[in-house]
This record gives sequence, C-alpha cells and structure tokens, in this order.
Amino acid sequence: MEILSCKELNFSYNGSDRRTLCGVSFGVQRSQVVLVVGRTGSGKSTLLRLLKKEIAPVGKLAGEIKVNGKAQRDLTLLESTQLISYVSQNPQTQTVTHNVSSELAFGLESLGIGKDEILGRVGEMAAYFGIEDIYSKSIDELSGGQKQLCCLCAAVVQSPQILLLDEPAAQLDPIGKGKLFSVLRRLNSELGTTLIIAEHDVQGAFEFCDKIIVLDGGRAVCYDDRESFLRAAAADESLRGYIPACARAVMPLGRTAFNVRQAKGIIEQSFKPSQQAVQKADEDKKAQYAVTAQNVYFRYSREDRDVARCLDLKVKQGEIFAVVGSNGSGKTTLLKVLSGILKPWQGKVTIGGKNIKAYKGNSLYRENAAVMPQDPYDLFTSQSVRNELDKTCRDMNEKGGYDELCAQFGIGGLLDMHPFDLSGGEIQKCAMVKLLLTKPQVLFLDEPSKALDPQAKAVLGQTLQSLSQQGRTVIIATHDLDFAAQYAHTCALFFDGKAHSCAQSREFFARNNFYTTDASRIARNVFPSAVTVQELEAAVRSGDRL
Amino acid sequence: MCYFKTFDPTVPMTYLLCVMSICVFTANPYLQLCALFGGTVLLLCIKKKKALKLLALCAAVIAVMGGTNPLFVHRGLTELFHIGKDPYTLEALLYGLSTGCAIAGLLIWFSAFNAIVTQDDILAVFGKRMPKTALVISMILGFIPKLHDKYRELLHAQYGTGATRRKSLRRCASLFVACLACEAERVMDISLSMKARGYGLKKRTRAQRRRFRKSDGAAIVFSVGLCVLCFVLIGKGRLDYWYYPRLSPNGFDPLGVGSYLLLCVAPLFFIVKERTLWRYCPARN
Repeated sequence: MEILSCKELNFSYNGSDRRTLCGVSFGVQRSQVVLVVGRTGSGKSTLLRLLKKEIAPVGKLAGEIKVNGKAQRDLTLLESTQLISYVSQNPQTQTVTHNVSSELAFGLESLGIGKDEILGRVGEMAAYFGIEDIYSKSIDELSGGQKQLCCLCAAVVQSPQILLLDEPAAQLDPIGKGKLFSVLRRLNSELGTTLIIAEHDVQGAFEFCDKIIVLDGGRAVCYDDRESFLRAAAADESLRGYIPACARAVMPLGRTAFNVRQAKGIIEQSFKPSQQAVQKADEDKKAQYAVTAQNVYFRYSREDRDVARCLDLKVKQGEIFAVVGSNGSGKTTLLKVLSGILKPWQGKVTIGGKNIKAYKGNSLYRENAAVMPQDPYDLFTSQSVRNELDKTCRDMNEKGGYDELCAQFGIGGLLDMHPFDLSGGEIQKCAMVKLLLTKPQVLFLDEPSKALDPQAKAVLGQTLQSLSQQGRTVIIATHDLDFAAQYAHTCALFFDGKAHSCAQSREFFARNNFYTTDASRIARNVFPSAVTVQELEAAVRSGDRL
Repeated sequence: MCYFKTFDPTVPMTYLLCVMSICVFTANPYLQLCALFGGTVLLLCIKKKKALKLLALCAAVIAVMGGTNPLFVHRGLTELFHIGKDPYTLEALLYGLSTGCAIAGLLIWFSAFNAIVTQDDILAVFGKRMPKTALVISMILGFIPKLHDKYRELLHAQYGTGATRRKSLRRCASLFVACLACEAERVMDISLSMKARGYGLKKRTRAQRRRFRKSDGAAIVFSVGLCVLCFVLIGKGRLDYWYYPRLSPNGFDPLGVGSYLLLCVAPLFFIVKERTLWRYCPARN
C-alpha cells in the first residue's frame, strides 16, 4: 500500500495568480526514498510543506493528499506528528530551545510521553547519530553541520514513518554532507523510514533513491527508477545538470553507474591507466595582487582563540579565488577580515595595493570592494527588490541603470516582490545584482552558489568569469566543490586559521582525497587532469579505449 | 560555576531572588556593603577577568552618584565645604554613595543571575507546572541577544555594499525595522517548526534531567529562612537607617547584618568546597 499519495495537486499562493503546483500526482510506497529535483522556485519546498498539514503554506489548494490511506485533512495533530517529520534547509529556523538536549526532547514532550521514556529515546538517538559530544552544548555553539544533524535527530527521535527533507545538505561542507547522507541511508535501511528529499546536489541521495520526481514550472514528472531518469535526462538538456557525476562520466560508454566506486571501476576497465601527473602551472611573477594578507591574526574577543592566525594570502588581480573548508573553520570570518568588515588585531590586509586602513569612511566599498554575506537576505532592508536597488544606486550616486543586469540574471519579474517572499536561489541572484551595482574591483562572495539550481549556477559562474575577464577579482568561500573546480582559477583549504594548499584549482582538486570533486575521484588514475564532470565526459569521449 | 550546577535549578534561582529582593528594598549601608562584597566575589569567581569591566562600571556609578548628589541636595547638618552659597554636606555625600552602592549591587547580582540561570533552567523550574508559559518566557529571553546579533549582521552586510557608515537616527531606525522583520520571519518559521513537532497537543510533558534531592530542599530552606529573617528585622525597624538631617546612629543590627552577610557569601562555601575536593581528588592525577 502507498504510504503517501498525491492526486492532481494544484496550489497557488494567496495574492498570486501563478500556480506554483499544477496537477502534481505521485505515489510513494512504504520505505521508499524519493528524490525531488527542479529549478529554483519550481515548487519543491512548497510541495514538501504541503505534505505536512501543520506547515502547509497559505493559499488555494486543490487535489487530494493521502497519508497511510487516510485523507491528510482528516489527520489529527497527534497522528500527523507521529507519522511525518520535516527538516528544512535552514537549521536556524527550526531549533526551538537553546540547547541540544532540550531540542531533542521537544517533540516527545509535545507528544506527552513520560520523562523516563523521553530520556531513553533521546539518549538512544543521540548515540545513533553520534552526537553525544554535543548533547549538553548550547545550540549557538554548534557549527552549521552539527545544527543540521541536531535538527535531523530531533525529527527522527519522534520515530516518524515519513521524513521530509528540504535541501538538508545545503549548508554542509562536503564531509558533513557525506555523513548526513550516510545517516539517512541507515535510517532508511535499518528503520525503514520513508524519505522524501528535495535537493539540487543530487549525488548524495542518488546513490540510494528509488524514485525521482522532477518539478518544472509546477508540473511533476515521476521516474519510477534511476535508470529511467538517466535515460530521460540524457536526452533532455535541461535535466543534464541533475545527472550525478558518476552516471554522467560513464554515459558515453553506454554504461550506468550510481556511485563513485562503480564509475571508477568502469572507467579503469575501459581505459589505460595514466602515469602522467598533473602539470604545475608556471607562476606569473609579474602579476599584480588585488588582495593580500600578511601575518594576519583575528579573534572575536580577547578570551577567544584566533580564527585567523599567521595568515598569509595573495590573490591576483582578475582571479577567481575559492576558499573551501569545513563548517565552522572560519571561512566567513576570513572573508570579512579580507574585505575589511572585521579588523585584524595584528597584520596587514591590502586591497588594490592599498592598506585597508587607508580607505577613509566607506570608500573601500564604493567601486573597490563588495561583500555578499552568507545570508543574502541581509542585504535587503527595503520593502521591495526595486527599492533596494534604487537605494544602492542613490548610495553610489547613479541614476537607474540596472535593467541590463536584471535581464542578465533573469530577475526582472522579481523587482516588485518583497525580498522575504523570494526563494533562496532568487534572492542570491538579486543580491548579485545589488553587489554589481557598486561596480566593485574585488567581490567577496560567501557561499554564492548555495540553493542555486544547475542552470542558475551556470549563469552565476559565467558572470564571475566575465567579471574576471574584465580584470575584476572574485574571492568566494564555498562548500560547492564542483562549482569551485569549474570556475575558480585558484583554490585554498582554510584550516587552523590559515589558507593551506593554495594551488591552481586543477592541481588542488587532483591531489585532494576528500575536498575534491567526484569527477576527480573517478578519473584520477586514468585522466588525472580531469577534475570537472565536463572535462571527464570529454576525456571519456575522446580517450583511447582498451 | 559548577558549584551551582550540582543543585536543582530551583536552588540558584531562589537564592538569587532572595539576595536581590533585600538589595532592592534596603537603604541600610551595612546590608548594601554585604551585597556588594558577596556579589563581587561571586562574579569574579564566575566570570573571572570578564567581570572587571562591569565592576569598573559599578565603581564609576558609585563615584558619580556620591560626587553629584551633594551638588543637588543640600540637606544634612555636617557641612564639608561650600560650592558658591550651597553647602556640600557629608550626609548628602554618603546618601549618594549609598544609592550608588544599591544600583551597583543590583547590577552585579543581575549579572550573576544572567550567568548562572540559563534559559534551560527556567524551563526546568516552570516547565513541569506551566510548560507552555515556561517555553514562551525562555524564547523571549533568547530573543534579545539574537536581535542584537542580527542587527550586527545587517550592519556588516550594508557596509559591504557601499552604504554609509554614518550612524543617523533614520538609518539606525530603518536597520532596526529590517532587523525586527527578519526576526519576525524567523519566529514565524520557528512557530511552524514547533507545530510540526506536535506543539499544541494537550498533554505536554517535561523531561527533567535531574531529581530534586534533600540537599536542594535544605539549600532552599537556608536561603528563604535567612531572607525571611532579614525581612522580619526590616519590618521591626531594626535595620532602619537614615541620612538626614544627621546620620542614623542605629542600623547595625548584628543578627540582621550577620544573616544577610551569611546569605551573600554562602556560595563561597561551595566554591571553596569544590576547589578543595578537586585539589585532593585522586582522579586529578
């Protein structure tokens, strides 16, 4: 019997004529794993929230949702809580209490379960998730990855039959992502929990999903197995971005792989191993540096440890420089220090060859540098996107003139909307436009590809490349290794307060084992210089087979 | 701060409320000095160097109150000197110092309260009888620091895109409104998360992680007993003190002052006990 089914689901938000969901129908069997993919704003989050009555968005809903054979609207709060749990992409807005122990107990307390049972179940689940070390900690002390694990644990401790996950790995570093998906896989295989996961980065869930739903313009296309999805995606250019690297790498060989191990095996059987190491690029000694940091130390207060210590860094003009690292390693702080928002207590930072202390007032951020924060909503304090862009133009003493940028990023239709009504991907695009209005020579971007679909990522990447060609420098802090491998010229791993392994991105990804792309892992014995899926695909097509 | 963590959360809350309730109502300088001494020692033990900033502020408050009160109040018979035609009296000076001590004492004890009583403690104390109210109170207490953090984030984000660093009232107000809007959005999302996890069902329970022991009861009886004794003595007028027109010759009641001093320095016993136990603990080596 289907544990969940939707029939002819139509939904539009209050005050909007546009149908966010249009005739969506699908069924989910017990213990299945369903992956929901689709472009930014295609209705993935709306669909997931509609599946849980208590958090359903306000609007006009038509159609039928059945849970365990019962109409969703007839479920009581108790039944719904026991049956379905929900984890969103932002752990900040999910944590209700102030420390991990009470957060884990919150749902069980709501269900009126006895004290001893609560403590027993919470303890068991904390051990299962391996979070005993953070059990007594305050939520504010946790890193993004730990917070997300805590939210997941708090949802699972209620023993739901269905777990809805809205981009659960969006804020996690590559290692955290791996851990999260391995926990999800165990939940499914050991407890039989039905998982419905909405994700842009499909690799983690693709390995063990049973069904794929593609949402496009509110309409859903259901693929009952991974093979049928891959066949359809191979023929449809708009779906190519959702094919994981392992499958895409072996497609030219007419084979199918669902994980790195399978793809690596197929590639290594088909091509001769290469002994050739990745060529180191010659360093351009005449290059001008756009940003430098010399012996920089930064800490938030005297009692804290240094987040940046003995930091030396040089970023060339016109370069796209990517900083990767684990959650909580200090990448955001590094960006703030380099961009002059936070002042180091020791050391020197220069932008455009000039010490940042020498920039008076806010002159540094006018035609010199611009910073996109981790939460792009922070850039918008006006009632509409248009008002905000107008305000930036006024600050820059410019009149209008953002139509071209809006067209380039495709945000023309969003200008009159309130920033808070935009989806994660849409607000990223609006934030980029606002930043570019200040005509910066150096852009500091904190997680710019977060919550973007593959198409939007490509647009962003091309924009960064064109800025780079114009001689502007871009420094990004990111968890998105595929994005960094494809668009960054140089990469560094931020760890222990310093930027380590600073190298050209090809060299950087070719030598790393974990902070690297799936394509590089698959190809390193055969095509060592291929670090992006496009490069690997091209190498497979043109390589000499055994 | 572990010494308070060995008790049920009701104990530190009751203790601190007892100390502060007397501190608020008394003008007796001996009681004020007891509160100031006990509070300073406790704060230094809890916050160590971080307490120095607040203590410096308290010293400044006492000095300013003491120094400025005689400039505006010319009551009192012991004239120290004249400023213009107005006398600068000893009584007014001491009254100012006393008021300063009362404010400083409260600041110090409130700071200790903030450091000792966490939001989780509030939930633990009220959670059993009033789980929903306790949750709301605890969330409200967490709202202000989050609002402050958000304001700083918004400010940084605005600087980073060329906005002026000039702090006009209009600009601060617009940022504050944006900050409130962000927080309102967050709170709405949190309320959805609460609902999604069954909040609102009738039988909400509370998982207490610690049992109430006899020692907790004894500590509460100790705190409340001393507090009641002080209030009885205050009610009987044995701790009354006045400054005008001449300083009161009374006010030092050994029983009253001794009881309050004992109450204020009671945590020291546990601090010393814990340090001694740890010093001679075999596990340490």
